[in-house]
Amino acid sequence: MVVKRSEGSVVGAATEITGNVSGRGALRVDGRINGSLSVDGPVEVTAGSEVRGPLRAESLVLDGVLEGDVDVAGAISVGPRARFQGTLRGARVTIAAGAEVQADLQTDFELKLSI
Amino acid sequence: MAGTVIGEGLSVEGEFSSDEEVVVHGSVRGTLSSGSSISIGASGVVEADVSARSLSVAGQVTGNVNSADRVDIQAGGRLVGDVKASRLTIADGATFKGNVDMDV
Repeated sequence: MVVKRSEGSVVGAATEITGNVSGRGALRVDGRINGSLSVDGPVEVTAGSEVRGPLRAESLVLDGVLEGDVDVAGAISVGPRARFQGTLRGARVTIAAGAEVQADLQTDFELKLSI
Repeated sequence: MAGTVIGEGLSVEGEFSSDEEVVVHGSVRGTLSSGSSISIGASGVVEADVSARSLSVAGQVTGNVNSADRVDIQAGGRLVGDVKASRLTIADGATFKGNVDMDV
């Protein structure tokens, strides 16, 4: 993900936040966040990072450790190095082979019973 | 590229600790510390006690500042709080209110 300097945000690998992160713009997490994360924008939780707390975003790419309830308007992509525990709610969810997931999974669709 | 960047639209409330370069274009409330340098961009708003090896302020900081090395308040920057640092510069056009302790 390309992050523009004043719009996008990066929580670096040597950074830890205990508290709430909210706002707009793309966010990449390489470090640790303990607390809620609510962003109007795409969120990427990279391999080696840790997020503990509820997460709301436009989309999520997860390849790190995430413990919490995820509510995403768009797509969720769980990568091969991801470890996840909680609720995953998104329009579309992809889980790669190798990911460790313990989740209540909810995708938005209507089940059409008649053909 | 800085290790950590808080973009213009983002706000962080709580304890923020880092061991790498931090750039704040958004807002931070609580505490902000880094073993490396912290830079507050022109759009950055920090309401926190700040601890860093060095601090550059082009935006607004309200809180006490403790720096092992230096604090630079740039033109347009605003710092309200006490500063403890071995070196302090206040540029023409910067505003500052607080006490200075240069540890002499």
